[in-house]
Amino acid sequence: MLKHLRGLFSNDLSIDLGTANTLVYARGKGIVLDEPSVVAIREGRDANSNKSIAAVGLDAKLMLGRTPGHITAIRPLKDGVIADFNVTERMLQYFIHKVHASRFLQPSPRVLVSVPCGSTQVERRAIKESAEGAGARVVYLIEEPMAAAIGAGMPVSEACGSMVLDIGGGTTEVGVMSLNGMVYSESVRIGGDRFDEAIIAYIRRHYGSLIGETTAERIKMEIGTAYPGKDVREISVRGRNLAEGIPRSFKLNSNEILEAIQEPLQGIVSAVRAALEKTPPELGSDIAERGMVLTGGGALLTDLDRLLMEETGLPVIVADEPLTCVARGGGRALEMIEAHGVDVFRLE
Amino acid sequence: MNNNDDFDTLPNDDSPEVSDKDTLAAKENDTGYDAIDPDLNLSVGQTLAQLRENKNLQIEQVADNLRLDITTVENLEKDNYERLPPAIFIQGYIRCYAKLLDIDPEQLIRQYYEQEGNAPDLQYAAPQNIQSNADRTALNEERKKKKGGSSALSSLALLLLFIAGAVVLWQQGYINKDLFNFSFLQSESEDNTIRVITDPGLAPPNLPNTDGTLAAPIAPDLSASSESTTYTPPQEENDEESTATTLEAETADNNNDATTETETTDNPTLTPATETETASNEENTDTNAATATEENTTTTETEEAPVVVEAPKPPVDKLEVSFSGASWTEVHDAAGKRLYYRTSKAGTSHSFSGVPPFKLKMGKPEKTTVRYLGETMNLKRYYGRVTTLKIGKAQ
Repeated sequence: MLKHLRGLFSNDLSIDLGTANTLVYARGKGIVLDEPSVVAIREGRDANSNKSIAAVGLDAKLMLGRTPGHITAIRPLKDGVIADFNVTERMLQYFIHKVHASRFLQPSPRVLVSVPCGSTQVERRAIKESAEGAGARVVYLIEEPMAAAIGAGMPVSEACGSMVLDIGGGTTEVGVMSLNGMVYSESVRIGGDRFDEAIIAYIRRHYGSLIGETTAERIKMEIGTAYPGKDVREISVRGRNLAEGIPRSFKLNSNEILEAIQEPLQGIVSAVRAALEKTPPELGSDIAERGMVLTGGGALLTDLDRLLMEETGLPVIVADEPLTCVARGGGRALEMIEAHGVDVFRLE
Repeated sequence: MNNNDDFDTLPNDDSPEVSDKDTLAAKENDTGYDAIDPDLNLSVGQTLAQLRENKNLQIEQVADNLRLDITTVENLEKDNYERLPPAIFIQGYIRCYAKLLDIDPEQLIRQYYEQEGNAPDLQYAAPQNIQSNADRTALNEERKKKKGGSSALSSLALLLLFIAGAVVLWQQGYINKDLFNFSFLQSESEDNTIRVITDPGLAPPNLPNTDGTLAAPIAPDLSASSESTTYTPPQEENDEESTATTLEAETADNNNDATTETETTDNPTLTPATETETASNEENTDTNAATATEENTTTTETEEAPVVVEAPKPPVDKLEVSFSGASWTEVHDAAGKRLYYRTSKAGTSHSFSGVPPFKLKMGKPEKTTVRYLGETMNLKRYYGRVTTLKIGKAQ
C-alpha cells in the first residue's frame, strides 16, 4: 500500500546495468544518469567494523587502481552479471535515489532492467532481487539485444528480420528479432574489458611494461581501431618497466593496438557468423538487404563496422548514440508495456 | 611502425579497389564540403551525389564498398526515403557514405533529420542525440529543480488529503461506536420507558385488523404534519392506498417514517403510547429502535398503554452470549438493527431479546458460548475462524 503510494511520486525507470557503465532512463525525461559501474568501499578501522560506501560512479572510477589500503574500488558486475550482490544493490539504491530529486518520499519506481541474453536464471534472479532490494516496486527484465534494437529505432515489431550487435563492457550480444520477439540470440563474454586486457598483455609482452586498466581503456578509446586505416595515430603512455621497475614513457600506434586486440575481435566476428548461420533464410535476406546495427560502447571502436562489413559482406551500421541505446530502448519498452500490456514482450 | 606486415591477411588488402579509392580520396582530402557551393542548398542525396562525382566514383563502386544494392544507393542520392528502410538504417548509410567520401558525416545526418523531421522513429531518439552530454546534464538539473518544487507541493497536498480522509473515516467509526455503546448502556437502565415506542414500528406483518382501524387515523396525521415538506404528495398516496388495502404496507410506511423523518416519528409514537415518557423519544430515534427490540414487552404494555393492548405481542426471543475470552462480536436482529458490536472481554455475558432470526458474527467461536431459548449451542465446528450464524426462525 505504502509502496504504491510512494510509486505515485516515482518515475518509471529503465536501467542498463552494464559491466562498465550504468545508465538510467526516466520515462518522460530521457537519460538522467550515466555513470561507471564502480563502487569504492571504505573499511572501518578494525576488520570487524562495518564497511561503508566511499564513492559511487564517476568519483569511484577515478579511484580505480589508485586506492590506499582501507579503500577498495570494485566493479560489482562482471561479464554482464552480478559478481557482488550487496555492492550492486547499494549501487542501484544510490542511483535510484540520485535520479529522484525529491527527497520527500522514498522512491519506489517501476524498473525495467536489461539482462544479457546468455545469463542464467540464477543470474537474472540476482539482478531482479538487487533491484527490488534497491527499492523498486516492480521489476521487469528485458533481454539486452531487444532493448538495444528498440533504442536504436529498428523496426522490431514488424515481420521483418533485424539484427543487432551490442558490444558492452563485459559481453557481446547478438540478436535477431522479428515481431517483438527474439528469433536467435547469443551472448559471448567478450567486450570492452577483454580489449583492455588484451592491450595490457600486448604491452607487457612487447614493451616489458605494465600498465593499468584505466590506461589501457584510454589507449583503446584514443587510438584503438578494428581495421587498418589510412592514417596511423600515436599515443604516449607511461607504464612500469618490468625489468627496471621504474615507470617509463613509451609510444604506441594504432596498428599495434589493432594487432593487440585481434583475438577478442575475432571472437566477435565468429559470434556474428554463427548468428548468421543459424538465422532462418527469410530473416537472413532481410538482414542482408538492410544491414546489421551496432550498439553499445564497443561500436565506438574505430572502423569496427568496416571490419564486420568486410568479414560478412553485409552492410553494417552504427546506431545513433550507441552507448545509450539499451537504456533508451528500455524506456521505450516501458511505454509499450504501458500502452499494450506486459505481454508485448516476453518479459520476466 | 614495424609491425604493419601483420595485417597482410586482412581483407582490405585483398580488395585493391577499395584502397585505391581511399588513396584517391585522401589526395583530394581538401575538398570535403568545400567542393559544394553552400548557396545551392543541396539536399542530402544531392550533396552525396555531387561529392561522389567530384571524386570520380561510380555508383557501382559506392554500392560495392558499402555492401549495398545499387538501387539503395540510387534512392539515397535521390532522397527517395520511402523506398528505403527506417531512419536508423538511412542515417547509417549516410554515415558510411560520408566516411567513404571523407567528409564529416554528422553535418549530413543532421541535415537529413531536419529534412525528414517527422520521421516516426526519430521523434524519440533525435532530441536526446543532438544534445551534448554537458547540455543534457544541465537540462536535467534544471528539470529536476522545476519538478522538485511542484512535486513536493503536490505530494504534500495529496498527503494532507489522505490524512484528512483517514481522520474523517476514523471519526465516523468512532462516533458510531460511541453512540451505540451509549444506547446499549441506556437500554439497560431505562428498560421500561423506551420499549413501547417502537413496538408499532417493529410489529410483524400479521397485525390484526383492529389495529388497521387504529392506524388509519395516523396516516392523515402523518400527511398533515409533513405537508410542509416537499415529498408529501407521494406520501399521501401511499398512506391512502395502504389504509385502504393491506396492513402490511401500512406498517411498512410507519417504519419508514420512523427512520427517515424525525418529525413524523413523534406521531406514531405518540398515538400508541401517549402515557409513556415522550422525552426519551426525542433523544434519539436510533437508540429507541435499537433498544426496544431487546425488551420483553408483555408486562409493561398492559400496565401503561391501554391503547396498545390491542397491538399483538411481537415474537421476541432471547439470546444469551457469554465469553470465556476476548472476542469480537456483532449481533443483528431480524430487522437488521445492530444490537451489539464490540470486542467483549473475558467473563462478560450479554443477553439480547428481539425478533428472530438473529444474525450473530463471532471473531472467536471457541471463546464464545451462545444460549438461545435456554439451550446452549454447539459451536465446535466453527472453532478457529470468524463465523456468522443465523439463529432462530422467522415467524
